[in-house]
Amino acid sequence: MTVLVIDDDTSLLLMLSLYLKRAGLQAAIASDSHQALQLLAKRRFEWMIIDGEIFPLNGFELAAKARQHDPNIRIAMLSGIYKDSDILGHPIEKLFQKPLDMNALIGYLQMPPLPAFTS
Amino acid sequence: MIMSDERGLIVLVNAQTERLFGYSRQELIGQPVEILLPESIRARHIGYRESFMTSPQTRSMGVGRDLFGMRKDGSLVAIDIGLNPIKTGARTLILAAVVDISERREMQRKLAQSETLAAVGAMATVMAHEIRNPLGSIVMAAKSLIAQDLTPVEMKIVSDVLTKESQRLNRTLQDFLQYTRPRELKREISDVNRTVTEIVTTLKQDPAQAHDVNFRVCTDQNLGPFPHDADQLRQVLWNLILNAIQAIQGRGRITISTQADAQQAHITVVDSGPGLDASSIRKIFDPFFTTKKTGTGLGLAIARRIVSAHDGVIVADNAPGEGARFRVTLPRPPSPP
Repeated sequence: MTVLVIDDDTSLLLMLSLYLKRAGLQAAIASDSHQALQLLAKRRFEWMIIDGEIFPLNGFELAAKARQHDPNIRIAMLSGIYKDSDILGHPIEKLFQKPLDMNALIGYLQMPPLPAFTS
Repeated sequence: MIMSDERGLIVLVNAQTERLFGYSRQELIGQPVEILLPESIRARHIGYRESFMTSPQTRSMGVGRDLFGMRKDGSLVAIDIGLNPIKTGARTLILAAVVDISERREMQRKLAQSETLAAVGAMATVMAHEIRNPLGSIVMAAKSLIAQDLTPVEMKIVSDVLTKESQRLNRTLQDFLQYTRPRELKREISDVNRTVTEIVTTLKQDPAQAHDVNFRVCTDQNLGPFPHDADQLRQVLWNLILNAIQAIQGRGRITISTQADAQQAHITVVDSGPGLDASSIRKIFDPFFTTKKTGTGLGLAIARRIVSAHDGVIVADNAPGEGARFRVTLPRPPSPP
């Protein structure tokens, strides 16, 4: 499974990448939305994990672009400020609060997509 | 309006004074003006009044202090008082314009209270962010150590994260303590130019901070030894230059210059970044204000506090054709420290 993680907190990015790789997932990292779009253009990812407050596009804007680019990509958001209700209406299927529960995150990534997000 | 004579006895009052203090005109005429003041300051006021009468001039009373009058019922009322001497023949009468400012004072109190609450809110948000995020990474790094089979590369990543994020927490704590518990100023004659050069040399040797930064230092050799707290000025420069490095995202030009005139030392830091918008210029020295996602927003607030302790000023604007510009002006103290 291929996962693209986008966060401007380098330490969190490195730790996320380490945990995902040790769970057997292929992780690529980007520290801003611009870098993320470049990676998306180059290769296909099954999952994208976006920090809500990234630049220059924020997490919601990046999610919309990514879904436009790849209708099958699954998207999760990480945030210390947004709530579950904030992701409604966006192509984001799950919000994970910071500080992260990595077991919950990795477990969720390995679950099959929910029906609402398969079309 | 209250008119009093040379001895401080009331000779005339208007209807508004009657309403404000609850006395009738007859009750006030012939009484010393101190009847309208709180008992605690009456004795002192006699001294002030006598001193005023030696050279009476139009002025406000008690500038910079909160003045209160006392009503007949003993309650206090916040007032402003303007004093106007009126010469009538050989006599000098004093016309005091008394304005009830209770409402204004109450609004100021509420405004100060709401500003305090807003500042506490901003502080809580910044502190939560600047503590929770590094702690999150530290917890993840610590938990990963449970696995016995981390490769050397993974161990290095974990160790780097633990070090970097612990240092970040320490910096946050230092900023916070420095802002809330400032050190006493210790002015000594010292060379401002040398302080500037030292700071830049130190930063140049830190590739993590300034690898791609082109520093220009222009020192005015007329700026001789100048009384200031060198340690604290170093902190001001450090904060201003770090701010500039962040503004140019670690890549670009930073110019630090000094200038002297007879009474002042000037230090200017200009970066080649995008500059400041109007809203940032207004708030940039406010504690906990930050345009960055990380950081306490205290660096420039600390800089301003230190400069103010030197009776100096620090201003931010945009330099024509460049990015943000911060100018520090330190006055030469009137007497040797």
